[in-house]
Amino acid sequence: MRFIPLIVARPEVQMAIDEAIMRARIEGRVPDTVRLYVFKPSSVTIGRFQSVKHDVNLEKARELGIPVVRRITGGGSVFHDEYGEITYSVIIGEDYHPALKNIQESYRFLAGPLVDALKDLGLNAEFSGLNDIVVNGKKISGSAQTRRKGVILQHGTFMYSTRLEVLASVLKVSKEKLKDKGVKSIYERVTTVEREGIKLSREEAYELLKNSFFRAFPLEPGELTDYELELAEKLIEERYGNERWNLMK
Amino acid sequence: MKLVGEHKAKKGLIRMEIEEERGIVKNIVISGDFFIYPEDIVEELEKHLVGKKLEKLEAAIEDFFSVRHDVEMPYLNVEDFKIALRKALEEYRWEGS
Repeated sequence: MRFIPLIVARPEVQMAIDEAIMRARIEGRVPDTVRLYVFKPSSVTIGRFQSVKHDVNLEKARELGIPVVRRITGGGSVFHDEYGEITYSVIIGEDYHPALKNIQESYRFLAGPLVDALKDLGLNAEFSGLNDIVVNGKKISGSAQTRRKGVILQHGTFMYSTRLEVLASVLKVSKEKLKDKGVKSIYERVTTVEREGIKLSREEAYELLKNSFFRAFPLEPGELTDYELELAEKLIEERYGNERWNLMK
Repeated sequence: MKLVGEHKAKKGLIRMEIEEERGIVKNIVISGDFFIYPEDIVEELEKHLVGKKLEKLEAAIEDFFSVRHDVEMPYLNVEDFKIALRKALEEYRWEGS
C-alpha cells in the first residue's frame, strides 16, 4: 500500500490528484493509497451538491483570496487553512477489509488513524454521527467519501490550528443546522488541537498523522505515477479548475 | 416564479429551488450537504422532474426512486426529498385557491 508524502498545492490540484488516484486505482494501475496534503493558499471546498450562493460567502472568500472548489464527494463546506489544517485521503478497494462494505463502518475504519493520533496527544477523541470526529463534544475533523466500481475515496480534515474566525467568515452555516446541533455559533461547535491546549507546528502535525497511518496500514512511501499526473492535469482543466464545475449550483 | 424549500434531514440539508411557469417546472436545482451514491443520481432526478406539473412532482420523485435500487443514501430517505419539495410548494398559489 502506497503512501504519498505531503503535497502542498492549490485546491484544484489537490482535488484533481484525489480523483486521478481513484481512477487509476479503478483501472488497476496503482495500489491502494494514503496521502496527506495542505491547501495553499487557504481554500474552501464545497460538497458535490452544495449551492455556492447559499453555502459559501463568496464575496468574503474573494476578498480574502480564498479559492472555492467543488469536491467530487458529498457533504458540507470546509475551510482548509494553509496554516492550521492537514487533509488526508485514502483510496482503497472495498475488499481490503469487511468493514469497508458498510458506509458508517468504513468511515470509522478509514478515519481511525486520526482518532488514534488525537489520543496520542492525550485528547478525548471519538467518532460522532456518520463522518465527524469530536474532541470534548466539538468537531475537530470531518470526512467525506465516494464509491465507484468497488473503490472508495475518502478524504477529510485534521484541524490542528485552523483560524476559526476566518472559517466562520467564509462558510455559511445555516441557523437550522446549528440549532440541530444544539449550539448558537460555530465556535461552540468546532475546535482545533490548539484550542484544546496543544500547539503543534505543521511539521509536527504531519509527523503525528503520518505515524498514525503507518501504524494502521502496511504503507510504503511512494510517488504519483506519470499516468496519475496526466489524469490530474486533465481534471484540473475540465473540472476542478473550471467555473462550470465549481459554480454549477 | 421561483420556489425554494429547505428540509433538514437526519444527516444533511436538502434544498429544492424550482422555477415554474404556469404550474410547469422549467428548471429545478437540488442542493445541500447530504450524501447519496451514485452522485449522478441527483442530476438525473433534476432532469426527470423538469417539464412536470407541480402537482405531479411528489409522485414523480416516488416513481424515480422506486426503480433505482442501486441508490444508497446514508441517514436520508425518499420522504426527505418529498418534504423539501412540499416546503418549496408552500409558497405556490394554486389556481382557484
